[in-house]
Amino acid sequence: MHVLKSRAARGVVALGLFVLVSVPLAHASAPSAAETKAAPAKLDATVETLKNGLKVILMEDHSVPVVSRWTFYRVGSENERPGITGISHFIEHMMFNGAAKYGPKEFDRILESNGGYSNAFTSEDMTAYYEDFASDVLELCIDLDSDRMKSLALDPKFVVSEMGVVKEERRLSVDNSVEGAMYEELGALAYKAHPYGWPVIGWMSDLEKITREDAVNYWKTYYAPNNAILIIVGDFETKKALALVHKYYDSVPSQAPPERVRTVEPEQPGERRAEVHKPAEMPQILVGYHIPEVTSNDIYALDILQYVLSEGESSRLYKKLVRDLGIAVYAGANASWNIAPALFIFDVKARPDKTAAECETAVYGILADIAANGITPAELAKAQNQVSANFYRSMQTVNGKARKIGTYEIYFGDFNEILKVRDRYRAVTADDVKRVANIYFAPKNRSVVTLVPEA
Amino acid sequence: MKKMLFLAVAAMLAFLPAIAGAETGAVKLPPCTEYTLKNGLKVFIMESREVPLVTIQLLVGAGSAMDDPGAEGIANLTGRLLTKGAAGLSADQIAGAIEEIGGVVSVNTGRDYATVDGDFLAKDLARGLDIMGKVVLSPDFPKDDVDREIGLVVAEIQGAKEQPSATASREFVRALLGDHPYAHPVDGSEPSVGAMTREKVLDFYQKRYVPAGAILAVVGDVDAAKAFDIVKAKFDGWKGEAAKAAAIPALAAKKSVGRSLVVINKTDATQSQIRIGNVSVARNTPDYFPLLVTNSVLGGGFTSRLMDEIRVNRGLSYGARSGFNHLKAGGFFGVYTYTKNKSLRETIDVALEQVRKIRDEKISDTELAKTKRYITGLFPFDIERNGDLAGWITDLTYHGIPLDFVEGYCANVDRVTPDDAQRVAREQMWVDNDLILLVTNYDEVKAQLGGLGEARVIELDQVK
Repeated sequence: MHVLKSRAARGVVALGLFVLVSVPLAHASAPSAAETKAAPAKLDATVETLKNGLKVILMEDHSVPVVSRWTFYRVGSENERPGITGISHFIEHMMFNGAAKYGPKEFDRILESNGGYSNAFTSEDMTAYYEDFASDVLELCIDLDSDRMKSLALDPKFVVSEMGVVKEERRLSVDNSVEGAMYEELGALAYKAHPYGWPVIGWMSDLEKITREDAVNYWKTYYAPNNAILIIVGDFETKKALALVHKYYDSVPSQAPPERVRTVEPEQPGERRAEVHKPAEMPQILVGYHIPEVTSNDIYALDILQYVLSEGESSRLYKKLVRDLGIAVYAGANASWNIAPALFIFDVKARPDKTAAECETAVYGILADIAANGITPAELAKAQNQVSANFYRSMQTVNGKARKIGTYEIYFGDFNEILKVRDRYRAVTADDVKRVANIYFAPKNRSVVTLVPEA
Repeated sequence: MKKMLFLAVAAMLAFLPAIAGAETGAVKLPPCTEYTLKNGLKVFIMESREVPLVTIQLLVGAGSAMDDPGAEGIANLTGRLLTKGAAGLSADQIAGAIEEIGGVVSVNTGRDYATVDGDFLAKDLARGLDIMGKVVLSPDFPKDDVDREIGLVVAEIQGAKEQPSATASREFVRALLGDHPYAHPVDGSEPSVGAMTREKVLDFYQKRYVPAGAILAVVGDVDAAKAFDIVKAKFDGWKGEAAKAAAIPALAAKKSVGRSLVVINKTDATQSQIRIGNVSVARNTPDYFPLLVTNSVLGGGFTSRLMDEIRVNRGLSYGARSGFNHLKAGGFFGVYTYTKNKSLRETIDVALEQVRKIRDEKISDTELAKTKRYITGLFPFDIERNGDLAGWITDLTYHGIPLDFVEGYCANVDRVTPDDAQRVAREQMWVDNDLILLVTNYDEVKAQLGGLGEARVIELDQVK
C-alpha cells in the first residue's frame, strides 16, 4: 500500500524498449484442455471501412453502461530515424494539446467534465489512443478524436512545454531507473540495423532538437485515416454509432500510404555483451535472443515456453533461481510480439550477495535442459490452461476487449485472429517447444547486459 | 489564455443536453447473498456471469499495524509464507496445484488488513477454495522456506532503494507518522525482517489469522447456494479469536505542527521526487465525499489544478497528483510530483500555491460540477471486474460500511457543495503545517531550499 498512488499518466507505456505493448499472452488466447464452452467462429462485431480508408470495428457489450473508444495508428518508433527518435511518442503527447475545433487544453477539459478518462501509449509498432466514458457521451468522444485526426494544431507554445514533460518522463523511466537504463542498453546492443534498437521514448539529444516542423511532417505522413483503425466497444447501438462515425470521420482526408520499414536485422554472428555501471543495490542481467515476428508460427511455441519458464511460482526460472539455488530475487522471461523480428528477454535480479555470472549460468542451464529434453506434458497442459484463463481475464472489461481487437488488427490485419490464435496454442506440442528452444536459444544469438552496481 | 478558457466552457455547454438525461447514481450491483459461519467468518457470494471466471478474496485483520514491536514486517512475512507450505503440501506442490488449472493466488498485506486473493476459471471454484482453505487454515511455515523468504524480503527492501519514487513514498509516511503503528513500511526494515524467526511467524499467525472479523467474498460465474456449500465445507473448521491487542491509537496526535523538511540524499539523482503532506482523517469520516471531490479538483485527473499548473502550463513534470489515504485509525494526505533538479523549488512553490489557493478561495460551481461529473462518469469502471467487486465488498465490510455505499456513491458525490469543499480543504489540506520530503541530489539543490526550514538530511544508504 503506497501512500500516494501514482496513477498511470499519459504515454506511460513508453517505459523501456520492450515493456511496451509486448505482453503477448495477456493479449492472446488459447483453450484449456478442459474447456467446455465451445469457441465461437467469429467475434460478434460490425466492420466497415470508410471511403477515406479508416477501418471501423464496433462491438456491443451492454454489461455495464460504459463505452471504450480507441484509435490505433500504424506508427511507432520503428518509423523514426536518427535525429528524430522519440517523435512518435512526442506526437502522442501533442494529440492532447489542441486541434482546429477544440483548442489547447480543451480535449481533457471537455472529456473529463463529461465523465470520461483518456490515455494513450506508443510502442515500436503502434500508437493507440482511448477514452473510457459513460454511454451517453459517445458523440462527444467521436467529435474530439476526429478533430485531432483531421487538424492537429501542434501549437508552438505547447510543443515547447510538452517536450519538457516528455523529458521528465525520460528522466523518470530511463535516466533515474536502473531497469530502464538496462533495457535501453539491451536494445542498442541487440540491433545493429533495425530501428527497434533505439528507445521508444527517444534519445535525450533528439528530444532537445526535434522541431515543430519535424512534428508537422511526421504527423501528416502517419496520422491519416487510411493508416488508422477505429474501435468502439460497449453499451451503444451499432446503427446509431455508425452514423456518428460517418458524420465525423468521413470528412478526414486520406493521405498517400506511408512507406513501411525496409531494413531487416541481419543474423547475429556471435554473442554480444555490454555493461551498465550505476549506483544500485544488487547485480542484474538482461539476456535477449532474437526471435521471429509475430506472424511466424513459432511464436506460439515460444509463448508456451515463456509460460513454462516464468509464469508463477511453479515455473522453471522461479523454482531454480529463486527457490532451489537461492541466487535471485526475481527471474522473468518475455517473448515479444512485434511486427518485425524482436527479442525473447530474460530479466534476472540477483540476491545482493550473489553474482550476475551465477544467474547467467543458471538461466543457460535451464535453456540447455529444455533444448535437450523438452518440457513435460504436465508443463504443456499447465501453460495452455494459464493462457486460457488469462484470455478471459483480459476480456473482463470493455477497454480490454477494444485493446485486444486493436492490437490484433495491427499485428495480423484482422481481429478475428483472436479466435484462430486459440487453435494455434492448442496445436503446440512438447516437440515444438523443444524445437524452438534449439533454434533460438543458441549462444551466438544472444545479447547480454550486466548491471555493475556502484556505491 | 482567457479566450481559450471561454471556448472550453462553451464547448462543454454545447454538450450539456446530451448528458442532462443521464442518471447519476444509476450504478447497480449484481445480486449478493450474505452468510455468517458459526466461527464468525462473514461470507458474501455475488453472481456476476459475464466471463467464466471467479474471484475469491479473503480479508483478515492481519495488517502491518498489528506488527509486534521490534518485528516490523512480520504481518507481511507471515502472509507471504502462507503459500509456502500448507497441510503437508510443499510450496512447489501448492504453486503447481494452483497454476495447473490456470489459477492465481496471492497474499497482499496492507496497513490495516491482509487479503488472500484467488482467481480461477469458474468451473474450478471448488479446487480454488480447497487450496485457499489449506493455505489460510493450515500453513506449515517450513523452516527453510521461512529463512528463504526472509532473505528475499530483505533483498527486496534493499532493491526498493534503487527506485526514487518508491523510496520517497515509503520514507514520507515513515517521517510523517514517527513511531505510530502505521509509520513503518508494510514490508518492514532490513534489520527487523533480518531478525525474524519461524517461531515469531507462527505466533503472529496464531494471534491474527482467525475467522472472527474475517470476510470472504466470492464473485463470478457461480451459483450462490452451491458456492456457499463449498465455502462452508472448507472454512467451517477454522477456529480462533484474535488475541487482544492494544487498539491502534488515533493518528490525529501525529499531525505536524509547523513545517519540517526531510531530504533523502541520492547523489546520482538528476530528477527530484517531491512529497508534501500531513496527517488526515480515517476511512469512516463523514467528510469522505467532500474530501474525494475536493482532492479531485486539486490533484485528480489530467485537468486537476496541480496537473494543469505543473505539467500542462509549465512542462515541469510528467505527473502531479494529490491524494488521501484513509485507514481505520486515521489517514494522511499528500501531494506527489517530481521534476528535474534545476526546477525543484519552482515546482514545490507551484504545488504549495495550489494547496493554499484551494483553502483560500471557494471552488466555482462550474469547476465543481465538472469534477463531480468526472468522478461519477468513471465510477462504473470501478465495478467492472470480479476483483473490483470483491474488493469493494471486503473493504466496505471491514470498515463497517453497508454495500449500498456503492449504489449511493454518485448521488453522494453530487451532493458536495462549494462550502463543503472549502471547509474540508481548510481542515485537511495544510500548507504551513506540513512535511516536505525530497529524494534528490542534496548538494545540487540545497541552494534552492532557502526558507523551507532546516533540512534533516538522510543519506540513501542509511535508509533501512
